[in-house]
Amino acid sequence: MSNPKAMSALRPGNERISKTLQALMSKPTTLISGLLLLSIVVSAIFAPLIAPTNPYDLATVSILDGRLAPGDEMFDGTIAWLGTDGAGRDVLSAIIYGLRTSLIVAISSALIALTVGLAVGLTAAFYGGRIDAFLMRIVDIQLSFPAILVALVLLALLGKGVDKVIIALAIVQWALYARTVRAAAMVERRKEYFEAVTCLELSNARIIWKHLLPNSVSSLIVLATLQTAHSISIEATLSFLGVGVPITEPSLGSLISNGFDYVLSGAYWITFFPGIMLLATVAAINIFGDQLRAIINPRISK
Amino acid sequence: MNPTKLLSIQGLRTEFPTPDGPLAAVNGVNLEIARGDVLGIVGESGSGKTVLGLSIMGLVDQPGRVTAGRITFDGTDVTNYSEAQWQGLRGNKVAMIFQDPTTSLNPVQRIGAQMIEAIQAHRDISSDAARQIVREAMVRVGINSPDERLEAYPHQFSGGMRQRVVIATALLNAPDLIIADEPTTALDVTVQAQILRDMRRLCRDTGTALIWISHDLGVVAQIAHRVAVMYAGRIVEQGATEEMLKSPSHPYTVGLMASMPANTPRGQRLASIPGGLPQLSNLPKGCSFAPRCTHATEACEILPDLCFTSANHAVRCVSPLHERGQHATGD
Amino acid sequence: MLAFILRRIMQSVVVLFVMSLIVFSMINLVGDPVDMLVNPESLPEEIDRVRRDFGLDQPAYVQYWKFLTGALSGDLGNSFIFGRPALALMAERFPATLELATTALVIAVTVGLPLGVYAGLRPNGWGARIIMGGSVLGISVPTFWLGLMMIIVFSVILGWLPVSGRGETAVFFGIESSLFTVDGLKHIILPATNLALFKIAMVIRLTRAGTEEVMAQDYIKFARAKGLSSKRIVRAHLLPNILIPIITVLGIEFGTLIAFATVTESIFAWPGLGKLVIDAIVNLDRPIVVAYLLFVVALFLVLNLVVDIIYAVLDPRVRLQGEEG
Repeated sequence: MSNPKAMSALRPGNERISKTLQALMSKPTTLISGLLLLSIVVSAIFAPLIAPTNPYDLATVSILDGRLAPGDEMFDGTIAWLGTDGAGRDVLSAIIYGLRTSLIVAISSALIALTVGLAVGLTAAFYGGRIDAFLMRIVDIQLSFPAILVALVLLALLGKGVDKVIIALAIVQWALYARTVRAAAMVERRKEYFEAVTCLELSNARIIWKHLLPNSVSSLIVLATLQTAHSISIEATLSFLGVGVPITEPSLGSLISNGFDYVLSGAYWITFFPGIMLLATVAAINIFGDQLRAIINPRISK
Repeated sequence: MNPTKLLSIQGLRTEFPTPDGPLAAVNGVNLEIARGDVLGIVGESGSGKTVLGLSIMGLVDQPGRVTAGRITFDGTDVTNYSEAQWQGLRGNKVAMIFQDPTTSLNPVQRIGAQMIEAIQAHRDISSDAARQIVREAMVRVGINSPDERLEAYPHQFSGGMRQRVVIATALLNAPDLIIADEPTTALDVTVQAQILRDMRRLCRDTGTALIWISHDLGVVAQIAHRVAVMYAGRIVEQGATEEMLKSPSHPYTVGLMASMPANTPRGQRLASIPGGLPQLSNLPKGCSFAPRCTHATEACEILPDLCFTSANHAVRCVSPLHERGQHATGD
Repeated sequence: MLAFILRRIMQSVVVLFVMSLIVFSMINLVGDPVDMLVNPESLPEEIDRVRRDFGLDQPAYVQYWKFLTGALSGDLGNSFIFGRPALALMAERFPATLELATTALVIAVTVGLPLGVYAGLRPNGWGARIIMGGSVLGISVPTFWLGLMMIIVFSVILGWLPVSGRGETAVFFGIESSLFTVDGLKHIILPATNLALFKIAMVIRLTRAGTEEVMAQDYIKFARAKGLSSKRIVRAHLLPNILIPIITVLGIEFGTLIAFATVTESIFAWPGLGKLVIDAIVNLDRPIVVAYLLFVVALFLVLNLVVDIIYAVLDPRVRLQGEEG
């Protein structure tokens, strides 16, 4: 990621952006994963409009509809294409709403982690020396532990709740952003013109904002994409283990966990379909992110 | 087919596909080499000389491949050899030595093992017997206390030593031909001279033919009986070394000679040929050298053939220089 | 070499000390374990008694000092739930986790390495595309969900393999393991494969990248020029060179396998460390959580050290540098 050529390739500029988009659209895998991703995001945003029923409106959910197989007709005449769960909720609707929770958690934690990581990474790169060494030491230690373990412990301390999960995931991720930003900014710092810039008595903030930040953008976009996939996965795992989001706001992970109880009795769909959705979401982001990386930084993809 | 010729290449073309269409790194090369002959191939980097060497070995990396022409080795057409057939030939009848001795040897395997495997790939022979051959080969290239050296790893050797190991390895199966791709370029000048001398002696003693690829006409002049000058994938001039050095005919060869330090008086800047190699994907229509040539005329827009100007000298130029009585060397 | 190891051990001790401080203060910042230990309707005096009994009434630094001195003598406190030493509980559960993680690692390497080499040797072929596509899928599939699917397919529908537990164990060369009994093997296949899947994808990617890099090296070209067969080149020249970085990464990844075992053990009810710690987290069993964290930190430090030593042994450039210097 420290390839100066690749960095300059992503200097913000409309031409670059449109070229990147063009390159993305020209490959079928990227196009398909991109479209899939788009439809996932759209259905999450417009969940109330798209979902056949509202799974959290207790007035419409009937226990009599419990454990209907995919394609069965529910009490009120709607067809449960993906079946219903033990409480009589339409699995398809639950998935669309669950997707919403999963994405909210993943994206907001990514944004927080990105902000913190950006601040730490740029500070380290700008001041260098001891500050840099100290900050990067913390980053190293944090990164030497598996994300799932750190998140697990944090949630054990913080307790349940969507906000708690977001905080835990942000803490898990910030270090990676900090390291990436620092690496990209250091490349710029080592260039000769940087000395000239620092001599101009520009304010520190301006130097950081105008010169160090733009060079981190490309690697950040790629990292944020792949990290979002990763945190969706972690959130699902945590919720599955019972330390994630509460039952009142189920994510895809809690839906899968919920369905696990019915697996042994043969009602596979309650846990199967949320899992497929989770897989499709994560895979689409991963493939899209890989292609994005290949286009932005061809050297690494090789 | 001339039976005395060890290697004969006709119309060889090696292409690499690129998004802008195929790129011919070797573009219609004809060459012949007899047993015990030493042929120098000279050209700047990107002229196709290395790819030519690799083509003869069947070692062109995918997706590149030989698309036209014929390679005949010892009377057998090897152009369409299968990988297994090439394996039987490589290291056995034809060996190749590469430019950088620091990277030619596997860093995590002992020297001895790397040499022994070269013998056992071609001969059903015990490790002890193979070790004996290796020991002799090492002594031949001037490595003392071979037993100790066999147990060492490449990083414990100097660059010159490593290249001697590589040369000894190439000689293990007494090949008929060795292709040496700039084997001394990465070495110190003194080591370079020693290796050059050793190679000449070894080839003479064993009757091994040698193709010496180099960008340095001076080095080639010291070892080769004949020289072929390559430019943009084609041979532009070919002939007996002495005759060519005395009366170089192609403007490119003249330029190469003028840029040799030995031909430049002390204190004077080295001459250089203006411009750079043309893009192989976008060659000029006629003579590839025309855009850089001070003698270029409209006639150069048609590609000239490689024509003999004497029994031992051929040149690919519409107006070869010595015909006009010009001599580049200042004798 | 010895000086290097000693220096690394010193560093590790410092990190371990700092981590114990962090872990301890983090645990003390949130949550009151007394709530877990007593009946919500207990009298205040009752609560105070429990608090005193467990030493929870003293200032944090005193608690830490007690904890640290205890830890140095091998006492990490008693579990609030089980009322037994945390270390003893962990020692009981660890072999099961170690067995699971090791089996998973073996599966990851035996499956991932050949596929990665194949994909690296023919990077543009169809086989490579399928393998690499599969590895993206492998990284994307949430481990726990795949575990559930494996249970549905192999246990519920096909009925081939048991759903949960460790099965029978047997003692062999002084090691107790379920790998030595048929029943045990049946029990370990699903969880170990499940745990291995993510690593298989990782090994494939690492191996492919390494293969492509090494195959472009001059010594491979020279080996081909010697007339060696492709098989011999892969075995004698490619593998020794790519194995060094792969072993390094895998050594460190072994720690993450132990960490990820928490998830797998929960799904398959595997009686290991991971299940112990998940239960402890849910029940706010502080000593177990602290002991587990310190154990993981220590494990990571040891693994890093071992990996560095293995690396030095494998790579003659590093090994001989030490001898000559």
